[in-house]
Amino acid sequence: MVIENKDRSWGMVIDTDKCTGCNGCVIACQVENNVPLNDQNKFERGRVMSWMRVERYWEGEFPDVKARFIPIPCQHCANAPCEPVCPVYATYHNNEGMNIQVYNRCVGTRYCANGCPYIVRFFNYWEPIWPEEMRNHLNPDVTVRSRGIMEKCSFCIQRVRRGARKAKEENRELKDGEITTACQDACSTQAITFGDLNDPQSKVSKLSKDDRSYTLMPQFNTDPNVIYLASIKVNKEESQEEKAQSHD
Amino acid sequence: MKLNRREFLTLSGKSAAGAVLFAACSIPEKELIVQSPVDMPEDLVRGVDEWYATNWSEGAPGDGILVRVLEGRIKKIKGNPDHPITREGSRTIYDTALQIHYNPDRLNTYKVRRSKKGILSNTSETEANKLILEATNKNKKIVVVTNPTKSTSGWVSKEFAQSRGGRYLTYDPLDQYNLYDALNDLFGSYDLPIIDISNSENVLSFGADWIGGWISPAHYSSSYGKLRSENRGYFAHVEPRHSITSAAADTWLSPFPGTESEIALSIANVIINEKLVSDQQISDFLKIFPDGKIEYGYNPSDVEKRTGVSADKIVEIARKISNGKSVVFAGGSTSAYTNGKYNTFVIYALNFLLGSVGKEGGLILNPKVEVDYIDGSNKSNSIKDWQEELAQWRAGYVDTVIIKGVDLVYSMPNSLDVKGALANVENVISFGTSMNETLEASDIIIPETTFFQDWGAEIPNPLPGFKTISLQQPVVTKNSPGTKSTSSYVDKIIELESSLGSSAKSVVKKIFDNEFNDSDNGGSVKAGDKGSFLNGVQQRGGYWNIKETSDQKTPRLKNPFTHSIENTFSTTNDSNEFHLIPFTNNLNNGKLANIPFAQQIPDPITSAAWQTWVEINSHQAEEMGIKEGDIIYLKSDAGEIKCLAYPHPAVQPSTICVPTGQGTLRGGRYSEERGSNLLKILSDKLDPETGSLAWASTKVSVKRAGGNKKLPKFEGTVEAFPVEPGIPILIVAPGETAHEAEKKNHHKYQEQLNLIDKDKNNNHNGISGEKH
Repeated sequence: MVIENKDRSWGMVIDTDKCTGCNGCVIACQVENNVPLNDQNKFERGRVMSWMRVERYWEGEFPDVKARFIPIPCQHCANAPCEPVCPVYATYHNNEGMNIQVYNRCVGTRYCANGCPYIVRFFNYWEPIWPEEMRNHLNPDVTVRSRGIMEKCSFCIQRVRRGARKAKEENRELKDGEITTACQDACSTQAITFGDLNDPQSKVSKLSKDDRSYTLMPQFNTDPNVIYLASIKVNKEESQEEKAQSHD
Repeated sequence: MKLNRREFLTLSGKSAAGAVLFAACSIPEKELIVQSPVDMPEDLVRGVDEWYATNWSEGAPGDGILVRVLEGRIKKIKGNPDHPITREGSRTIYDTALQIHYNPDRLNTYKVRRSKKGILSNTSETEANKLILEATNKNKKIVVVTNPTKSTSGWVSKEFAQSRGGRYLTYDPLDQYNLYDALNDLFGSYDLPIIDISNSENVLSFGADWIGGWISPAHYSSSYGKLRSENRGYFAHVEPRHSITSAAADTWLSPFPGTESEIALSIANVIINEKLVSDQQISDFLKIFPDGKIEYGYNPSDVEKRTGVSADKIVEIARKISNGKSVVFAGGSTSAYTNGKYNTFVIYALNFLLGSVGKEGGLILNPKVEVDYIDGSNKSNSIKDWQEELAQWRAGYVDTVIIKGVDLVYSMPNSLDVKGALANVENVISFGTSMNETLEASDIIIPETTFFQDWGAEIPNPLPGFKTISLQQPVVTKNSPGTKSTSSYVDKIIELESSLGSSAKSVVKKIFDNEFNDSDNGGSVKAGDKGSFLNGVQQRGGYWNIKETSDQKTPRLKNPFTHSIENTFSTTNDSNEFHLIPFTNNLNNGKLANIPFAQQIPDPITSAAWQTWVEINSHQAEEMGIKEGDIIYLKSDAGEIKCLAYPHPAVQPSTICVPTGQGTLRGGRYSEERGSNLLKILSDKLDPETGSLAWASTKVSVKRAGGNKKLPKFEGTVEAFPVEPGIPILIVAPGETAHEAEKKNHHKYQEQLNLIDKDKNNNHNGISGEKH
């Protein structure tokens, strides 16, 4: 039975100032959630499946150049554009603020992916191939999807459920920080924080109100549950002034 | 209008109206709960999982890891937060180890070559054991070779070689030999000090990609996270390549390769001239120079001409690091030029000038930890040692070579001709979990267990400031699926020499039995008897004692340079000659090339995967007519390889950067015939001070091969989108809010597109629009 708590709203804060772009979160997510292997062909054809991706942007010109990174999972929007377009309710919003994908309902229309401005939904165009030996390391807590199914970041719902079940067995409330997502576990610099946004005392809730917090594409009014903290540039103003002077 | 179901769905999917219709017709929540969804498999948590604390000595030396095991299968690996090295840290490659264990090309049978010209064929364990016993009897001259390690594996290797009057050597293709040597000269110890990044206010690093892969990235990147916490510290990095460490820095300096020590001396020059530190600190620092003073010619403007680094930035960094707790360190390519030791020595010596040695937030010396049954070193043998050793092999003076944990044939430079040397050794016995080029050139192949199945113990490098022993313990059995007929290296060597003990487990038990006797004072595990003590060690993934720290609180210079060492790295004016900067990525110099998880992790800077690419400055590439995916020949004095071009703006124009790890000839379906082996074209230039390979001193010419292939990369898979129109990633100044930055940036974007009235812009925002 599902142990849901309607008072919760699971959310994530990603501090881009701490993110080093190492891709540790990407591989950790893939292993935890049985995301299919991405062979060379998939890279060449632009069909890489990655529930969590790290985008790299260049800033400036040599020698004052810098790579900037931003990790992007499903934003678990409160006003998710993917939800109302699904004809079979395979994607919907649950009572804990998560955007859920129900694999055995999905009929593969891909309307949801068309509607997602963050491009975080991935369609299984092919049957995933797992060599016999590698099936041993698949996570039994997560369904292995088949061809024709849409998939995306679930906020590691299997970990949330496992944690909630354990807390219930022990007759106690879930503690802040008790449930961690795979990407969060793999982040050495602690750039990712996960927790209940409705709990004013939770770390994620406090961080979400930080002065540096913002959401992606606010113009679409999607109200994401993934909140970013802006990257800090020492001497940002100075360098802008310098640039302005050099234009003179 | 009459619609059938299919038409209705098609229409609703394609139109916004459809979306509204569905939103309006939401189904009752109860129905969702009853019918589906969330109870479906992704939520249906079954089974009991166990997390075991252990250690992956070959892949992530010293780190404490936790392994999730469910129903006898390994499912997940993460950093052990209880372990003093890993703390909250983790490494990108941890999970790749799952596929070392569950690899479709894993070795499961013993193989033997019955004559030097014969072919390898499968054999029984019994026959293999008989042949191994013959090849390693007490009359044979034996050499044992492993990767650099300070562990039980190092101990049995050394002891066994000595028991046969032989030698024990180690090899690491992109070694840090000069680093260890320079540290020993400066601090009187080969042990790495703690670089206290977590508590520092200013960090200045040279060459070492310490966030990406240098020495102990889990430990260092966790420290980086702390540096970027509340009182955000300043970080400058000097490296010709734009690694992820360069990208993380507040200031990145890209010097001409080999000129790093000039930047360090110029920074020292500014600090001394401006009297930014105490006279005592200046005096301590100047002791490293023969005449007690820095030679002339290190003022920033002179150095700018020689290094390509702006004098203003040198001055800025000098002033910043003189103020507050600072630490300076070097490694990676900086230590691997023909003047690598000199570079490293001078850079670490800056800590004396800053008064950072032995201080919180600076460079803290580690204790010298000696533990019975743990031996070896993290410092590999130099190429000079190897040249002498291989001459012995070639001359037929060695009867048997035992190799474990290193693919010599793949990773040694062409000039050493190790394959030719192995051909003159009567018995080559190799251990491995899957085939590689060295195993292919061996006479007896022993299919090896993985670290998930073995016992072991290791001293981390660097230590966390106090005595620490990491434990490796079996988390699955030797007969777990797909791994039958495999043997533990330590167990096998002990079988050959019974005086070493009875098994790897017995050796590990002896180590921790000894620690039990000393554990009363500050130890991480307390127990009433040895059995409970070992259980405690197994639960925590090791044993550490915070009270066993270094006695040497005020280190002094052990060996000041007695003569001036010339910068032996020459620059070039040839427009087609480039400095080649090799770098290690997730393939771990080829050790993980047959692991699909490792192959498919996009390189952070280029997002490329599954191939060998060459990073070249985008402007220079344009001038040379090189486009992304062009097939390029790189030719050095040692050979030629082919790779795909990836121009980007963050490459020092005199250099090109290429990852190691691809181009293995044997290894299985995921690695064979893929990319090129960069290690084979490294020049055999040495640092004359130490005899170590100057692996960052190779020069190559670049030639287009005439074709173009699609570079496998993640970039472009998902169309890049802006956070706000025109803004990829929101950047704020210290103290500025996201909202303020968004407003400013949004405004600038509108300005670019002439969407707003520039006069109004001036009035309301004070931005100097009239200047345009």
